[in-house]
Amino acid sequence: MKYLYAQFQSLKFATKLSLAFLLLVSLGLIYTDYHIRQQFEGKRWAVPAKVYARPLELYVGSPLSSNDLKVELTRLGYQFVPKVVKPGQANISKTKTIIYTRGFKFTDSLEKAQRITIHYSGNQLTKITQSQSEDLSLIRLEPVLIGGIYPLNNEDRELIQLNEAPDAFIQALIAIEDRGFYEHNGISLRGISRAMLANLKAGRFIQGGSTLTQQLIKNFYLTSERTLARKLLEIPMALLLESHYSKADILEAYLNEVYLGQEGARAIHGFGLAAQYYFAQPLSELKLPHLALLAGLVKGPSYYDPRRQPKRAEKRRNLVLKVLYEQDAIDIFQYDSARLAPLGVVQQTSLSKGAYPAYLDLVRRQLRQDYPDEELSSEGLRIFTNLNPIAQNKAETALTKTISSLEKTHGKSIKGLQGGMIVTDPQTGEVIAVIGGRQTRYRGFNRALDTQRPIGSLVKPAVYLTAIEQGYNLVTELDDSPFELDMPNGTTWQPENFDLKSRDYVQLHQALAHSYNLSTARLGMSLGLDNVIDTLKRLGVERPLAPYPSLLLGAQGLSPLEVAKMYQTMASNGFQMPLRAIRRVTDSTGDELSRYPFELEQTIDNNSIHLLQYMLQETTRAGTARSIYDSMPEDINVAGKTGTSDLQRDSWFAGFAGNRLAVVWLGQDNNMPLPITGSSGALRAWTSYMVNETLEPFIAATPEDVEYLWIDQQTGMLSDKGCFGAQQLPFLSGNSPTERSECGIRKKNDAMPAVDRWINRLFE
Amino acid sequence: MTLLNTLYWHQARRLTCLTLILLVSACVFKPSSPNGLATPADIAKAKLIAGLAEQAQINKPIVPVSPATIEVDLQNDAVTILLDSAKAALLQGDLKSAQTILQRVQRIAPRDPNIYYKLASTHLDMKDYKLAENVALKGVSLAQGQDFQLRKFWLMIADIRMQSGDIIAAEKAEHTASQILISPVKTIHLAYRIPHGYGTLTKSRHASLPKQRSFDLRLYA
Repeated sequence: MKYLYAQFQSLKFATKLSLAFLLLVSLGLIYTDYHIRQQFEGKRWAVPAKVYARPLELYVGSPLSSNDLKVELTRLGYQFVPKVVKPGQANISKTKTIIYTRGFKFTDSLEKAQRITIHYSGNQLTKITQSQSEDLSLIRLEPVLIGGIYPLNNEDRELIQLNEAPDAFIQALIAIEDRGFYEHNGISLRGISRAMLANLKAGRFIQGGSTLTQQLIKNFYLTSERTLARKLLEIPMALLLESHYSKADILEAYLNEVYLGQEGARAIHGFGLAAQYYFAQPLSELKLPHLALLAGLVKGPSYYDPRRQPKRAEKRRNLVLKVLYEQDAIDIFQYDSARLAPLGVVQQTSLSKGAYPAYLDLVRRQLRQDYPDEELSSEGLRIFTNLNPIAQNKAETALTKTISSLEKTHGKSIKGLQGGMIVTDPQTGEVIAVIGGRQTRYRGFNRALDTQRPIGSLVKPAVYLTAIEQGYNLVTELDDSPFELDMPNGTTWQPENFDLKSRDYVQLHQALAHSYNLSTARLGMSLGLDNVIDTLKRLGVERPLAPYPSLLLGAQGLSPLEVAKMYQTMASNGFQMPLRAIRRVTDSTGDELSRYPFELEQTIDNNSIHLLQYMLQETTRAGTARSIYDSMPEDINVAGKTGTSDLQRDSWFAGFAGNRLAVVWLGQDNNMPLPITGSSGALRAWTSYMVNETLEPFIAATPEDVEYLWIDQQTGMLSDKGCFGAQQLPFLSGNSPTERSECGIRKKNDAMPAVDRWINRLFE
Repeated sequence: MTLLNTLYWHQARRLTCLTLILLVSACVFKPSSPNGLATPADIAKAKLIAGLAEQAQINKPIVPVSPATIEVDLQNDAVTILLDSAKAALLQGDLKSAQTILQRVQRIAPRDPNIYYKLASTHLDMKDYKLAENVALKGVSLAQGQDFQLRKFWLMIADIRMQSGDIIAAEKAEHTASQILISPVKTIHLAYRIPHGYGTLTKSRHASLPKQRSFDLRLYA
């Protein structure tokens, strides 16, 4: 009896215990279930913001060579094939290019994927045709993805939908990772027993027998340790996940979650990004051998890294192909041609993502004014920028080649020369290229934005503009003799001309074109330092400037970006504009969140700036920058200024044509003196970039209050068209010289007004 | 008498130059081919020397003289289409879309005053008077010498200033507008035509334009 009671008691206890256990398990399951659903249905991943270059506009008359187009299409990962049959393919020849565009949803409209033929002659697009319909007037290519803004864990991914993954890929993935995916309920007993057997054989834990569902659970919810406890938790979670969601949902999540590689700190997640990272193409455009390689990578992205371990990677790929063949998913011909195909992995240096660190740096800084970091790195925002990959490519080539050729010429004294460059569109203020150093892909010190180096003579236009505003004209005589200035701190300021010579008198326009220091310093002192500073501010210099006389010769340090802003105002007829890297920001679906519109403010009078523009053109035609026209066609007007700082520590050039403004700085990071000046250094890089661009000449219409008069070059007196050495110079109305040269007087007397007109008609 | 003198003097000078040039060319460039015929290279060289000599005679401008006006050619379909869709957006009151489209056109044809006129009007509708005025002023700077355009812009600036409450400045703008007499014939004769788009003035295309026409337009004024 007692025994029975005891038995009953223990049974009761056991029941209680098991009830309690059941309760605990159910509670645990309910909690786990809640946890699984919450995370699966909520925001699954922190998706980095995507940063895009400007889309290439194609229209009749647009400036485009076949080479330019090739650069753009390469950046977009197009395949160059003999026969263009699907999106992402192109065929380039001398006179025409066939492109099957991928299409893109822009904020303002949808560009659909279509097969077009572009005809061009020389550097100009002449016609766009499409097979079905009549000629097209305008289309936009999809923009190049140039980077992302990553969350703290540095996970980068590009989300894809299941239907974007080719069938062959899904087949390959399932064949190699989880053959029974469509049959099991989350776990595969066969898989586990096979794994157990393998583990027993090996005497240690080597195989997991995980299904895709389990792998997803492991990556998505659990840590990556290989423990039994984790394994035990994995099973109920996998079952729960399968009970709630369809195979398609689970597969799609898997495609986006899985880890597939590492680039520095950046972790490559998901097949959407992996396709870009290894093949520079969207997953949907990859061919069988590529797809097999990606499917094979899951097992060990670093062990099978196709860039570092190509042999292992190839073996793994061929194994995947073999399995596919054995399952009759591919025929023998497909198998053989895929097996023998090269890996097809692109070099890391040819990837667009990560190719423009200096530009991205500028984008990030401009964005941080409006968006918190957290939002940028997790909400999948899309950022549309003004980067022009074609221009950036040309600028990089020009800068790096010039630096190496300077190193070759000057040897040791210039070793390690660095540089920075900014290119903008002077009409709109859009920044189209940024170079932060000679290693253009290096994500380090950004010299275009962060060097603040004395700008030397680049400051002079501000002095001469002030002079014009105060009533000087282009032929006003300036004193170019040596002088000394006692400074309040007891020192003496004693400027010198670059050629160490001095001149008694020079005309104002010549002083700027030849960059004379003595006359500029004298002029600036008589204009008043505060007035020159005020002009600099109106030109767009924002930092506080101290009124030291040395300011007049460019002792002030500025970054290339600040210089670009200053020269932008000169190029755009006196309108100051913010230099914009970003066009707009949208959410992940393409709805606009914010825009960065064209803004401007007229800060310099149209007439005065016209006179300055004349002098900056004289600088490039006959002054310190005249070497430009050794390689620039005569009919492309450009304007600009050289700059060399004290002891030749910095070599600068800032200048513009009608559609491009560029600023180049060259110097040593340790501030050592250089054997080069602005003319023999930075100007060469500038010219070599500009002559490779499709340029429009700089032309400004003559403003209302400006008149061009014939002037005798020697004396600066009024002259006449027919007189020797006469030139036409612009003057503000009522501020022209009054004295007339001898020849000028004779001509004037010779010509009766009516007769003069008649003669003119005869000769023109 | 004076007239004849001038004429003769000019022509005599030109004739002398030409003769000299021809003589010089003939002397310097003995044909290099064995059969005594001039090769294309010889001809090119002779032309170069002749060109240089001629340039030295007339005062070749160091800096090209600015034209009185720059008129944009309105023959570009892309621009027309985009301007039409901007117009449609404006009619629907969708100012933001209109601005997006207008900025797209601006990148294609940044010197077309019409774009700035429309852009300024969107800013005016959004009551952003300062920006509206500055965009209109940019239009003024691009439309130099085109009376019809200039008057349109100054009337708009008057309107902007009026709406922003600056009546004195508005009257000033209106006065400026009223001073502009429209004479379309003059504009066409003075116009230096820049076709739409950056590419149309590329090296090759531009080089084929007669030089005289591009830079000495002031002489026609």
